[in-house]
Amino acid sequence: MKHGEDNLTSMVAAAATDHPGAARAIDRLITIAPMFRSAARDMLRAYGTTFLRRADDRVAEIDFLCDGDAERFDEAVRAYVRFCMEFARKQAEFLRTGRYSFQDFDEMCAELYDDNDAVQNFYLFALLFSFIFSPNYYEFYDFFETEFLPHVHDTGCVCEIGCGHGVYLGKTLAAHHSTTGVAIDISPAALEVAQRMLGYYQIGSQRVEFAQDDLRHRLRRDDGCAQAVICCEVLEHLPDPQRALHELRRILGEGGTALLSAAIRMESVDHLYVFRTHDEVIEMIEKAGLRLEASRVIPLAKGNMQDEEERRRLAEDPRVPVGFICRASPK
Amino acid sequence: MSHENRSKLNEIIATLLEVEAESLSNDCSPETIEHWDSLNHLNICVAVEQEFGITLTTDEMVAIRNVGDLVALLNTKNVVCA
Repeated sequence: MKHGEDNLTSMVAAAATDHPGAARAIDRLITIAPMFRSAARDMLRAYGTTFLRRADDRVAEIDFLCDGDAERFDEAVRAYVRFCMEFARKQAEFLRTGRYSFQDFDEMCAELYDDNDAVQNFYLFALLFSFIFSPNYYEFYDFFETEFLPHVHDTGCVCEIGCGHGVYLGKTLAAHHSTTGVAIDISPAALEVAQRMLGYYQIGSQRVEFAQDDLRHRLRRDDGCAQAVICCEVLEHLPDPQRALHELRRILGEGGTALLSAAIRMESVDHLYVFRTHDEVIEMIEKAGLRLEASRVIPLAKGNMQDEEERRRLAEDPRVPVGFICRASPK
Repeated sequence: MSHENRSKLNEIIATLLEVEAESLSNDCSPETIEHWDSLNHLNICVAVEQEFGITLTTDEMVAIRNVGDLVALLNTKNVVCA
């Protein structure tokens, strides 16, 4: 393809009137890192106006966290680009060795979670941009919005464990006005960001509590205290995800709903536990006393993701990293 | 030596991006070459590291916007490319 044939620029210009946030995110990304042109183009082609609408939402959240400062927004874009490059480099190493680079949770904490600046200015911004431009995260969010949110009751407590930036909890509490929330994370820096995000969603302090806690151990929560539990992008960061799932089940009340995700054969800046297949994750979930209600398997590869057969074929390929997300309820 | 390095560099890029080595200039970029996506960007960087026995940091990789930037970066690491 020669210069001028890539129609991304015209696609973005056409979208700019109705979706200024999305158009801005794409423009900044491909200006800062031109090698992401095809990623942006692929997302637009695959998900169309839904992609643009969601990108607008994410950009509004990121802008809020950046206090509307354009330079900080660009720094957040750079964080995402660095995150992707580090992921790709580590993934290549994983394919060579079959091991993730971190073997020890405390070492990982020292490298990332204990570094407040890295959590707030690199990691969480990267994750927010991943919701826009990375198909696995984008589909996680899609599953959350379409397959989880409608199943949350309008009363009781929603508990997000490993809340990070807090978008899932903020959206859930905003959609269900009579609920209360608990945001749990191991990182105080992440809890600060989540607190701001909940503020963006106009969730007052009377409706949400922020608690530093560690899912490797027993959480400081009562049995069955939550009608909904969100635990996304957490299990692969833990040394013993089976134990964590038992703990999630303990705090989930009867008739409740859980949103759970796992990264399969997918290295990142902070992954520890290698899930080899999504069946392994399902087995753990069921062993913890949960029943799978709905799920989605998202291979991270070039291919037609609208074609279910191709999706399945890619998901079975041991060289392809896969995102898995599901809704589960107590057995 | 610098011509030899440039030939090796062009060969790496051409193979990974499925273009003719002779067609590559310093202006070539992800905007002009379809297969220059983020994954191939990394592949180019890793192949360059291996070929020339150097290390690139993530920030250096991210800052490469076209072939000319990569050539300039290699020059700073004493891998002189014409």
